Amino acid sequence: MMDIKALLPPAHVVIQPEVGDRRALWHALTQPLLDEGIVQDADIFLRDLERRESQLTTRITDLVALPHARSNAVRRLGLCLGLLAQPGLRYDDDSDALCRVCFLIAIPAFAPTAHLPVLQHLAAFAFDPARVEKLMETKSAALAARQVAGFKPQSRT
Amino acid sequence: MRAVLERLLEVQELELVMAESAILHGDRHPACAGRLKKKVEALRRDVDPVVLRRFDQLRARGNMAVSREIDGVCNACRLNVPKGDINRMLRGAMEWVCPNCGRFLFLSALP
Repeated sequence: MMDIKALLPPAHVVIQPEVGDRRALWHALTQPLLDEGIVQDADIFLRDLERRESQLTTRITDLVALPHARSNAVRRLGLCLGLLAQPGLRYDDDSDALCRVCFLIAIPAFAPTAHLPVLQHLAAFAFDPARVEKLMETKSAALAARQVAGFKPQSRT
Repeated sequence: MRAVLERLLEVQELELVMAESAILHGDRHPACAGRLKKKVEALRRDVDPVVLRRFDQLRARGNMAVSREIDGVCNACRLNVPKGDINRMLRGAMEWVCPNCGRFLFLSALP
């Protein structure tokens, strides 16, 4: 499993963004990556996120989604975390589940599998209900980043 | 060649989505996973077996078998593709392959 700390500084954690729908959430989470030059064109990246989501949902539990997309608008691998206030956001048209935790991953088109270890780490985190519960209660960006980066998944046997 | 590479680009993307899905969903979305698999199989059926074998060899070597050429640069190896080579590819006098990394090269310019 990889070290998430470098990918998820506190500046990449957005606590309780005021968003009304999925696209607005993605936009809010893209902003820190845009500010750092990781994403160069938000419109292209959001279009690529939409295209990826249309292939197969990236919501992996009722509470957690991991939207990601390969894009020519991405310069290097980037990760951003959004923690939504209750009751959460309806993420899929085909489900009434309300999403509260969203990890957005920006993947450069020239390194299409660079994110797979990150996905593995975050998926393992998402399937640990106690960790997710604790993360949702966190009010500090630094603490949230530490909780995710400090998580050590149990090896599957 | 453009139509074949468009098809292979789609196969490459869908196979990556399937790899992601295995991590994210495991067996929880069998219908969606089955739909993706069928789409990949249908796309593969219409590709010349020789091209397909080379595609699979490239995928096995480094995940990316088809790269896009953007502004004269291969998007996989990030090296310049000589303008003369691009013109030869567009004329059909040369395979659409990056001369630097050997991946299939999807040209942005129309012939």
